[in-house]
Amino acid sequence: MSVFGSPVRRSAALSVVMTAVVAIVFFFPIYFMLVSAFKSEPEIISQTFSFLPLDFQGLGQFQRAAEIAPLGTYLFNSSLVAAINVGVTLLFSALAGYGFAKFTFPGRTALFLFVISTMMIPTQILVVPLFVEIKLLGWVNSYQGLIVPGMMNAFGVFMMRQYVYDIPDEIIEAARADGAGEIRIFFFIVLPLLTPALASLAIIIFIWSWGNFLWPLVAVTREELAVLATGITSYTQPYQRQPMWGAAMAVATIATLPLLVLFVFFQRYLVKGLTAAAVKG
Amino acid sequence: MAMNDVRQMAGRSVTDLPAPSLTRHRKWWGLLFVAPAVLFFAVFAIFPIGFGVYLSFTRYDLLTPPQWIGLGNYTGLFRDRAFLVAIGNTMLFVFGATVPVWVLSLWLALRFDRCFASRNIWKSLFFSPVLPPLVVVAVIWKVLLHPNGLVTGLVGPIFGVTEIRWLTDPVLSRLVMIVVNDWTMIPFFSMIWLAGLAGVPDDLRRAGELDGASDKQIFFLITLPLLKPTAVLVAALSTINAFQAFVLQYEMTPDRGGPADANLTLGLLILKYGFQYFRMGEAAAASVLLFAVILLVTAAQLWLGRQK
Amino acid sequence: MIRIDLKRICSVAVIAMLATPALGEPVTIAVWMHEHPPRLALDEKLVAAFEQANPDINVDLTIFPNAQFEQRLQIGFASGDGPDLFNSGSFNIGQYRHSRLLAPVDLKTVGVDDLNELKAKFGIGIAGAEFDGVAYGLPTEVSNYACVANNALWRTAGLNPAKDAPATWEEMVEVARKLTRRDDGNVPVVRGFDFNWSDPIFMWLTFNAMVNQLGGTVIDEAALTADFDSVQVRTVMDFWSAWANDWALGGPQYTASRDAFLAGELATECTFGSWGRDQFKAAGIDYTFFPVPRWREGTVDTGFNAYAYYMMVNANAPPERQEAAWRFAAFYASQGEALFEEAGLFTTVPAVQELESYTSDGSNTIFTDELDKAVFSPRVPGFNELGDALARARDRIVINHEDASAALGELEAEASTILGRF
Repeated sequence: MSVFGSPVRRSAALSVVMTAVVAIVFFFPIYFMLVSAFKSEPEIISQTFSFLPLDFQGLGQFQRAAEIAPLGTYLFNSSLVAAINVGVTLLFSALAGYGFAKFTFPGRTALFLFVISTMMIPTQILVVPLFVEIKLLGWVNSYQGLIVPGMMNAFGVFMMRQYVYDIPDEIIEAARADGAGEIRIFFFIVLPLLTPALASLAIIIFIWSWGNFLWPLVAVTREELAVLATGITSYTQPYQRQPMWGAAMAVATIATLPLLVLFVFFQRYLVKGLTAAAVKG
Repeated sequence: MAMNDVRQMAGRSVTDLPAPSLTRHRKWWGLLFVAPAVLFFAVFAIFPIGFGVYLSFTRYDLLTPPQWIGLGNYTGLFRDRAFLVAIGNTMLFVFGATVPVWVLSLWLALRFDRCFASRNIWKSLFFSPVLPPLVVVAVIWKVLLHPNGLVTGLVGPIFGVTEIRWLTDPVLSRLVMIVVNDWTMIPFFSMIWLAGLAGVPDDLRRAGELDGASDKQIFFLITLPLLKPTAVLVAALSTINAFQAFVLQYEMTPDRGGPADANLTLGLLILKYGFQYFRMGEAAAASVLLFAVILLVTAAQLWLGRQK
Repeated sequence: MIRIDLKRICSVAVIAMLATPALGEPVTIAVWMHEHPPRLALDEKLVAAFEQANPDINVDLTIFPNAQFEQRLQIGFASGDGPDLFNSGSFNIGQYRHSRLLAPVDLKTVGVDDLNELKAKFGIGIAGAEFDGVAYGLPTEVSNYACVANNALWRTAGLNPAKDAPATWEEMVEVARKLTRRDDGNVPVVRGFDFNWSDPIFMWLTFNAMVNQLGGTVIDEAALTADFDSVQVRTVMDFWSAWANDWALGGPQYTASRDAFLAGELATECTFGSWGRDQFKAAGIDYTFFPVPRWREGTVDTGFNAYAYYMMVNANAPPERQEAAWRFAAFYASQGEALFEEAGLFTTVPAVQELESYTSDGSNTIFTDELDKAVFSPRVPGFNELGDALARARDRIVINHEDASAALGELEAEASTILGRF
């Protein structure tokens, strides 16, 4: 059965198997990471790979990781930053995406290009002036300084605009004809139709935020405000010793599992049917 | 219903115009909606970008104040061996990180779009490469790609060799960078495709089936046109990302960009100029040039994929 | 865990306090250091002890993850938010000095009359921070490399590290051949010895040192010129190239040497310092140190290059903070014994070599003897860029099989361009 087949028809077992194989191949290196969190150090970097730990460490690597750095603080700060990033980005992006896609106003193209052009500049050269800026605001070593400059992402605007295009104009016009205000239309018609896209964006922003290390490095120097992404280098590039891959893998595992859980949780929003119903109705 | 009617209905804009005053009023709503995002970037992007542009006209080592040198950095870059090498490397990498990703992520998204039991489990496994930080991805692959390691063990016997120099051979290492990058990016973009597919109503496809169209026809004539915005998004994002890529090259290659600069990308070179060579002026100039290229390419992609 | 002898600290602090006039207002100095877990507890104790003995000074110590320390430092200076006192290595000191970022050591505040007295107080570690008779930093750690043998792997090959350790590079070839174990495809599964190909810094610390051993110098620090097209460089390059290609004893494609040694897949490694001991123990490796080999026809008796970390003062800080910073730096850097016993960091403060914990391990003398003969890598601006260029030339010759003379000639031209900017 070809891949172009209708999603509703049940697929042949062979097709499922092939999909499973693809998934396993993609997953394998992650499996490597997960199992390494339980291996001894020499075993991880050894050139011969074993599927299960030959020298099972139990939670040894995790304990080691926790001894070296305040994992709890890192996890809390990373979660806080990510949650705010997700919330703000989703809201501002949906608003802006809707505005750019369904309205015409003077300067629309220019403003859109301006917004997405912020994604095209390598962050390495932005950190110094951005730091000067938050210094002027008095935000160094504070949660505001850590979170606010990065809490909005142009990528979200781009993405939302593209998905808003898919919403048929009739629905919106019909609502307007019914006398609904613009704000109502946005929150009660557009947003629900954007749910799959919003769910995807939420996951993407969360993952990106967790991995972002350059800005947290620059914005905060106090350890109470440190995040996981900068903290992980304590294991991967320590001073005067070899990288502690076991500890790094343990921390990476701790960092990855919540994301995986979130992804599984958000899966149910990534389903069709919402748009279809709207068109029919 | 004829297929043409179906397509028309899906993409048709409103033909009867509302009263003039409402249209004008609506314009300003548009501005209002985009205002939060635009204002945010006006505050937190204009100044840093402007300052970065200013730095590109200076000689700046971060430790002493910048000195104005006009276009010196720009002309200097085009005479700089490292910069010219980086351009070529980046072009190759961008190609490998965009075209195959676009095609494969779409193909795999279609696979996962179909309903079958245990779909969610496989989808989650498939998605996992997106999760770990790139630094961890780098070390995982470095071990897997050891010359006598696991991947060699699988591929080697085909060619009768026990050692393959994945990361130190100039040709192979470039290929490896692309493959590892694509491995992290394909699931990511598949998810974007899936969100787009979720917006394609089933009854449109079913209508096509009823009309006797083949699976391929339905896909290429109904689904794909409706996926145009998503297609543009995937193309543009993968391009923007690919042009700036440097983490894998930094972490996985010998001498951070080797062998002999085979994997020195523009993103990596900018990092080196700015934070290792104390040449922030050149880093800024290279960033400005890179930005210009990315902007042109993205604008072209947007224009080609514009909604009528 | 050996407790700090508080008496030692207090006596130094009292002397420091008596030697300097009391200041009026309390001065706060920002001190930045990189993260090194074994040293962190000691840092806190020393700060507390110093503040108690010097109530007119507040020490605000910030620790950064090691990987990003230099980056953060540079961003700090760029934004006007830099520290007053910072702990950086002999690698970037050339650049910092060239950019006039470093204040010369305030001899009076530190309590000495001249450079010689300074060297007597802190040892030869000062040399790495010395330019034209002026010192720009006080050492908090001095490190050099020795070779280490995996006893088990050596014994399996019928060799005894105590007796059969190679004295020359030529002998090293033979020893490595005996220790190397290969698979059916003749690919080394366990290497006898390999160079550290993994980072450009080792081109300075090891490759450059091997050139020094032959009487060559690649960089003239004072004149800022480069000489890579010499017979000595060619000899060393040919050796490295043969190691990977002709003799197939190692090469850049394999696991980095330190990792491989700790994994038991490399029998001999030469880029560990005395600080490596903890890691060998943790990896369960029974080891023996021996000095880095020389060349049979070499003219200079030196091992690999040394490097050090220094407390340096920001020349742009206000004078009273600079003075306070030197007071703290002198106090900290003189705690050689505590640094050695608590944090495992070696300095050339004379008292360290009389410690029982020092003399009880015989291999420590290998390191100090070698350190007496060691030189520092060239401390020039453009150090990182030059290192990258050197590594690239090496790759072109060893991996891409380019002609060595041509590649070295181009390297010299590149290096001259880099240095020509300063």
